[in-house]
Parts: sequence; C-alpha cells; structure tokens
Amino acid sequence: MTAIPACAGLGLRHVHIADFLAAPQPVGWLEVHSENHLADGGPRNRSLDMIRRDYPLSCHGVGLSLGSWDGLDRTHLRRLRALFDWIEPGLVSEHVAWSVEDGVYLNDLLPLPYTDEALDVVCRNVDAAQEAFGRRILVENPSSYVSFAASTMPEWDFMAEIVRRTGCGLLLDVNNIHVSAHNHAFDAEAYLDAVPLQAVGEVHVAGHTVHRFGEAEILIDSHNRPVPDAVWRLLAGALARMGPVPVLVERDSDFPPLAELLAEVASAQRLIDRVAGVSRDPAGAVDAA
Amino acid sequence: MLREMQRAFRAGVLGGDPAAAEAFVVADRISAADRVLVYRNNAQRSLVAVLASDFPVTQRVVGPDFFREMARQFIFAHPPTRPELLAYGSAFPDFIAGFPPARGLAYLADVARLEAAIKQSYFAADTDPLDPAALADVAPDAIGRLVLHPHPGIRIVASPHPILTIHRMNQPENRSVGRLDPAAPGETVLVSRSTDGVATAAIAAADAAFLLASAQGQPLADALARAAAADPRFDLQAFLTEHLPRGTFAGATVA
Repeated sequence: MTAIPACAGLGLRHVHIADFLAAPQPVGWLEVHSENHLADGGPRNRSLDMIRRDYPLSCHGVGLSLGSWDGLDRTHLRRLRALFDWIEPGLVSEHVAWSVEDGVYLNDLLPLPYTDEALDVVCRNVDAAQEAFGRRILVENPSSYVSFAASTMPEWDFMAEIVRRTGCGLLLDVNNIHVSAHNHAFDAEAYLDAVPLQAVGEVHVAGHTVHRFGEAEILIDSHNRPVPDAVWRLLAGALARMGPVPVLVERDSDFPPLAELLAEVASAQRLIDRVAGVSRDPAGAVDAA
Repeated sequence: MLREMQRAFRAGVLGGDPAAAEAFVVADRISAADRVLVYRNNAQRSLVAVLASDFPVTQRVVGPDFFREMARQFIFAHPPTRPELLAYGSAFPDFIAGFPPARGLAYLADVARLEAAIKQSYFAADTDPLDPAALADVAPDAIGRLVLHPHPGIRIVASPHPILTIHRMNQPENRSVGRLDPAAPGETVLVSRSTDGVATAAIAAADAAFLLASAQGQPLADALARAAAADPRFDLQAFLTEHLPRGTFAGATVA
C-alpha cells in the first residue's frame, strides 16, 4: 500500500488511461471509482495494474449506499474488499448518500434527511463497511437539491456526529459545500468552521452547472466543467484552516484533453504549497508554523 | 420515515410516481416537484448514457431520440440491480426484441446481442491460452474424452441477419453507411478477447456448434458429432490449427 501524499491528485477516467500508459504524467496520485473496476478481468484492470505501480491510488466508491435503511449489500462489500486487497489503495472513501432501495440501484447519490434515525443508519453502515474492509474509510459530504421537512440538524452536525461515532475520516468536497450552500442558503465558510477538519483525509474539487427555475436557480454537481473560481476560493479557505492535505481534481464528463486537467491539478498544488507551513493540532485548532 | 422516503424516491426517480417523493421535500421558490425532478433527470440520463455507451451501434442504427426512449422504457422495466453496472444491459437485447416500435428492424435485437457479448467479453476473466503442446501428452485412447474449455472471453452470437456486417458498417470512423442487401445471409459471430481487447470474426455454423458444445463441457467426440451435424465437412484438424494459436481455448481436461 502506498499512502496518498498531501499533494494534488487527479480522478483517473477511462478516456485518459492511454495517456498514463504512454508517458509519466505530472500528478502526485490518482483516484479511481471502485465500481468501474469490479470486473473479473480484462484490459481496463490490466491497465490499472500497470498504473498503480507508478502512482499512489485511492479508491472512491459510488455504489455502496451508506444511507440505505435496509443495510449494505454483502456481495458488494465482499467484491470491494477483493478489489482493495488487489489494489492496496492508500485511501478508501464513500458518500453520505444512498443509491440502493430494495435491491434496485438508482445510479445517483440521493439525499438523506438529517435526523437521528438517518444518523443511526449511516453509522451502522459505516461500521459495517469499516469492519468488512478491515480499515478506516473516509465519508464525503454530499451535494443536494432538496431539503427534508423532517431534518432536525444541520448537515455539518450530521457529518461531525458520523465521524465521532464511527471513527471514520472525512472526504471534504468543497464543490459540494459550495453547491449545497447555494441550494440551501447557508454560508459555505461557516460550514468549514463547523465540521471536524482534523478528520479530513482528502479534499475534492470539481465543476458544476446552473439550472434555472424561473427566477430561482439550483446548482447541479455535474463534474462536467473546469473548477470555478468560487470553488478554488473555498479550497484556499479550507487549506488555510487545515494545512496541506491530498486534494483531488474530479471530472466525470465532457472530458477535455488530459493537459487541461493537469493544469487544474497544478492550480490545486499551488494552493497546497501556499499553506505548507500550516499544520493542524490534534484538537483541531490550526497553528501557523 | 427513512424507509418510506427511500421507497417514495425510488418510485419518483425510476418509477412512474414522482409525486410520492414530493411530500418529504421542502418547497420554497422552487417547487418540491421541480427539486425531485432534478434527481429523476440525473438518474435516468445517467443510465441512458450507460446504455448508449455500451450499445453504440444500436444507437446509431435507430438514432439518438429513438434510442433514448427505448432505453428509458428498458430502465423502467429492468432497473439496475448491481451497483457496478458492468453487466447492466444484458437484458436489453431481449427487451428490444419485444419493443413494438422496433418491430420493423428485425435485425436490431441481434445487433444489440452482439454488442452485449462484446461488453461481456471485455470484462471476462484473464487467463492464459491453452498451450497446444499440452495436447501432445494426451493418450490416443483418451482423445475422444478430451474436453476443451473455451477462454472466458469467448462469446458466440448467431443470427439470421448479417449482424457483423451491420456492426462494422456502423463504426464511428464510417461517416456514412452504405446500403445493405436485404437478402444478405445471416452471420454467426465469434467474439474473443486477447490481452489488448475484443475481436470479432464471422465463423461457420459447424465451428460455432463445436465451440458451444465445448463450452457446455462436452467431450471432443460429442462436440465433433455436433459440428458434423451442422456441416459434415467440418475438419477438426483445420479448426484446431486456426483456433489454438488464437487463444480461443484456455484449457483441456480429460472427462
């Protein structure tokens, strides 16, 4: 297992695999979607087996459905464990969301109400995942387009409580914070002040799109364009509080040539370098060195 | 409440009842219906995209609008049951065969079968090909009981329509598609996997019969009989000379 370094990484997608096989690329680490590699074999996994020798790899799940009321799919847990035993990823992460109901997979990260009941369900499922994988996982804060009448706590308290109860880490997606802050009218910087930043093991940045409904608009977490300025600013704010952590640039559709994504990786790296002297103390307070 | 909410959202996202989920959602300047619709659109669009990526020739034959509606109907009837989606769409060809608006395109379901087979082959297990030298050690009286095991990436798709010709005509590099002779004979396609990727080739019906019998675990004597029933001129020596170096077989055992 190669640990993920506190530098900028890139989400590796099929369209760019050939670029990585052809020549070394200037990126400190790579992340794959676990579900894309749950195959019996074939060229895609063969390529990954070569790439993982040259880059630290992180496995990011999109289908475990940590928020499902009826628990986790044992077959899926077993297949993920086999994947991790093979890849030996430096980090394993999943989402605070749900995507499976009664055995049907909806292929989207659906939102949870922030209630004691949902908290119990997520914590039970995080415990089960950590036990099945034999390791700590990171859980990612969601982007969402609805809020629930039943919610009794803010999202940051919900996330903090998952970390406190299960001992898992946080994958802080600053694009998701930006998107949800806009969609639910909260202050993104206040979110950063409220979550347990000492538990953050990784940060995600990505682009989003704007959907208009008459006068109002919803931001959609579409991962189909460059990281916008507002998200870079939020990343800088997060890093100023935390010091260097691994930061991943994500792009999932409308793929540009690899060079354009590597330029974004370089931008993320410059922001990390700027806080190189900052460190988090174990209590979560931040000291400038 | 979580259980009821997730049931309602499932019906709203991949079912016919978006209204049930709205009751759980706070409406403001944007209605609950519009907010739930964001999820419905995301999920449906992403699954149509998965099918479009796995069935590019089927999509090109019918056009994107027809394909989108056919895929949406399939998604409602056969929502995914596995989160990895690598085998999603295996039931799509049968669905197409029974999809009334596609009835005029008799070959469409078989073209989709070929595309599904290509995808299954791509993700099949890796294994070394059978070393022809291993067959030299088989005792002469045991040869009839020899079972040849096809490579896990082998698939055979037989059709009364020229599906391989249609598949090749509709590759992205062909900007226009020529006219196809409606009386062209059917084709049986061997889909195979090497380390680099998936290859397709037309094969004779007797070759397909031999491979299918072998895949079912039938010993050489029985597979040979099946091939001969398809075509009495089947030549085992020529068949093996062609297929052993190609890696069509992964192993051999004596029954």
